[in-house]
Amino acid sequence: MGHEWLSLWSFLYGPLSIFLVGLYGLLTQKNLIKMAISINIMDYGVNLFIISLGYVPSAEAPIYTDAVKTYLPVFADPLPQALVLTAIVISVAVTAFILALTIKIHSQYGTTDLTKLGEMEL
Amino acid sequence: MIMQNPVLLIAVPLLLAFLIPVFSSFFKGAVRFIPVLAGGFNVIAAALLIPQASGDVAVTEIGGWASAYGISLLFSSQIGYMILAVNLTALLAIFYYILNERDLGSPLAYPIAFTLALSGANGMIMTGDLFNLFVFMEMTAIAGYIIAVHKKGYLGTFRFVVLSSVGSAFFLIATASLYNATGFLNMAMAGKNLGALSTPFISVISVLFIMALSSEAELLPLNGWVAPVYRESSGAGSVFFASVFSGAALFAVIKVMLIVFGINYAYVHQGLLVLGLVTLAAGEAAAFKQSNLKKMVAYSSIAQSGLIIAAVAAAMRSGVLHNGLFNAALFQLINNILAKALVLLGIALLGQATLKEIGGAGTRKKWLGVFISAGVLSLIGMPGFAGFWSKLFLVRELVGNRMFVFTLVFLLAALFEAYYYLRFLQSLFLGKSTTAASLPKTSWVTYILLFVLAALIILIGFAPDVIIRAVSGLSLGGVL
Amino acid sequence: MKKVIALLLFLGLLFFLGTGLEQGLKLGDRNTLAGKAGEAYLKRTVNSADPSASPSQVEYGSETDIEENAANTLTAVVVGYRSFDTLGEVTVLFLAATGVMALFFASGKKKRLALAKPNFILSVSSGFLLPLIILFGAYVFTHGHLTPGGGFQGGTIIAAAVLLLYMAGNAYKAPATGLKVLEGFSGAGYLLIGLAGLLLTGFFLNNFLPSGKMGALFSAGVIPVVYILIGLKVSAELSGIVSDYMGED
Repeated sequence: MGHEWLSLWSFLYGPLSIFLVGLYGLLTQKNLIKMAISINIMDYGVNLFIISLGYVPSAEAPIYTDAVKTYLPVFADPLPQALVLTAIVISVAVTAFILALTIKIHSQYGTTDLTKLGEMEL
Repeated sequence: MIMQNPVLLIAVPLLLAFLIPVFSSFFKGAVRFIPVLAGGFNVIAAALLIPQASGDVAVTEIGGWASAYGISLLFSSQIGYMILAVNLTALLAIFYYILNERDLGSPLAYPIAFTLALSGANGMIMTGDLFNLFVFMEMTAIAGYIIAVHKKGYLGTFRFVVLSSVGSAFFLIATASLYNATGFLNMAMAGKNLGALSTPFISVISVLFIMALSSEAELLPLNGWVAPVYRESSGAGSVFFASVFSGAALFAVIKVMLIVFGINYAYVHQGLLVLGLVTLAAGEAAAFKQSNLKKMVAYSSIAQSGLIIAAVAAAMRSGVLHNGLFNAALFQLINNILAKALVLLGIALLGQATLKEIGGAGTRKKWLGVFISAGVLSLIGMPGFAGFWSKLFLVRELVGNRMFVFTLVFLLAALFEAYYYLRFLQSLFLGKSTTAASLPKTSWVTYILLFVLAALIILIGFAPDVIIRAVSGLSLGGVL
Repeated sequence: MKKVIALLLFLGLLFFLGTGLEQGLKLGDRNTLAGKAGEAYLKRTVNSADPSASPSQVEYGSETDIEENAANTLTAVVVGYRSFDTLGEVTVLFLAATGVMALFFASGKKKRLALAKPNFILSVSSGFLLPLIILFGAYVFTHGHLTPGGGFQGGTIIAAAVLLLYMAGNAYKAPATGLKVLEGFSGAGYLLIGLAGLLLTGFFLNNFLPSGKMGALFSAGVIPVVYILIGLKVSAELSGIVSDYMGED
């Protein structure tokens, strides 16, 4: 029973909590940089979630080597790992863009505080 | 044979976009014509592919891998018409950029963004793989960020980036969960294996997918970026948002709903129907209060997305696919793409922001007034224009299927829409300008762009059966 | 008040997502590969009639003609079976680099970002480390089909070398135009390989080179070629982003 709970926590609720911490940050933080960090936390949670879905009990990395020469049912699922690779690259791309955008907002309005920016926008 | 592969609609713009930095070091000025090349190629290729496609969906495998495991593209005559409409409006918007807005911002970045936006939109429309849809969604999103900052609208763009990042996180959770539970990323295979799963799981997955796509499809809950981005974007940029991105994303929602969830899960479509109707009502109410023209069109665009999604959900909810209603929704989608592009280009040419400022501009620039009126009247649904037929078909099908609540909401929304668009026309022709500023000059070449769109709207208005036959029934034949 | 609402949303979503997904997911010890796409990728039996039932043809170190001959199955998925995703991913990174460039375009006088003065150890060792880092990056992306790593990882390592140069002294300036051209060329190269597949075999992004012996450096057909192009492209893109942030044109 305890084992089952641990597996649910580490493969489902844990990663989802990290994702939701990021979402919480997006909703409550006023600083644009902190919002960018929140987006990153969100992405980490999602990536951890995807990786944990590819977990197979006592498995090896999905690479053929001298030790594992032919297909044996001992490999971890390669597909979630491939998805995470793509997702990481895309989140890097978005982070680069959003930080550059923050720099431009700061140089135009002189602040990165969302409440002050909201007043200027209107 | 090889040249008839729909993958070229994605690959050729990609190749041209990668070549832009290479070309720019040799011929600086010529770079801005590359998006025209890409758009022109896509329009011609789509027009050539349509006659060879049938109503059934044909699957094109990428890399030669069996479509359940590899990535595949779906193509049918309906998808072809959708691609044609999206690429044609995009091409006209790119011409508009070259003629009127080429001095805004970096001369290298915007051609790249426009070209890749075409690839991304075509990919979203055609792909048959869930994760591939995510990649194309991100491609259009980032191209969209670049297009949104065209006129230094940083704050609106920031909101856009945040909301679509949340959306893509939802999409990843849904896709990965679906893979774990069904074993496939291919939409048709995932949908086939979905039957063995429990109701709570399927409802969570469907909510996640709808939320994820809601950012680009301009549906609630993640559409808070739409109004600020439209307000601050350039003329060509606003057409890309209203016609290209939202058209592609709406089609992607329809595709996911149809292929993954099918017609077997009434509760999924019931939820989608409610979401669509709420979006429709909220969008029309917000547009009604606006005096800023671009924001008005932005909220109207949100409302139309809601309407189309609600109609599609209603068509699928009772366990059989109501072809008539489904086709009417697709017809409305295509009409909306064309008319919104015309109205937004017209508003950009007026050069004024609010209802008061444009007072009487239609009498001073008669041709512009005529073209804007054609777009607006089609959006309202005036007889003789394309929009009339799609709204008529919608009402006929809704009443025929005894969906009276939907009909009531739809008619009320249409009334609101007619009111604020007619208010716009009244101000355009009868109002008095409050600003002394003279209107910017418009070249006759720009008028040709507007003429093409207006002519299409009127042509469809005269012969609606051609289009309705073209978009009739997305058949599942080739997919399953 | 806002925080309370956000907290409630947190708990509500955790409950909604958790309890819903729990019903369908095969987590932890209950997860198997049987019948999934991942199993067919590992066995390289994607195109056989019944991928999960047919036996795998894979044999490390021998010259068998199997679907994808990369020893690293992850690479076989990323640049083989799902290469179209990777093409899109490369494009997304290209777009982001373009977006950063567009944002920093013509922002008045360009002034280089003032970094802390590098200390003696950093400025001396950077010249010594630079070739090693670049060599390591190139190793990672040329061996992507055999060992963990690949174009993205190797490209990032090389871009780190460029960042190191920026941090080590004020004299260095990345060649912005050259990087952009390199990006364009390597991206176009990837696409041309895809189009060559279309012309030669009838399928976009299909392999048209001999696949060799699994585990050898020259094996797996177009995969290493594509990964080298991706490595060049990613290193150029990330270096371009670094130099855009440093703000000198």
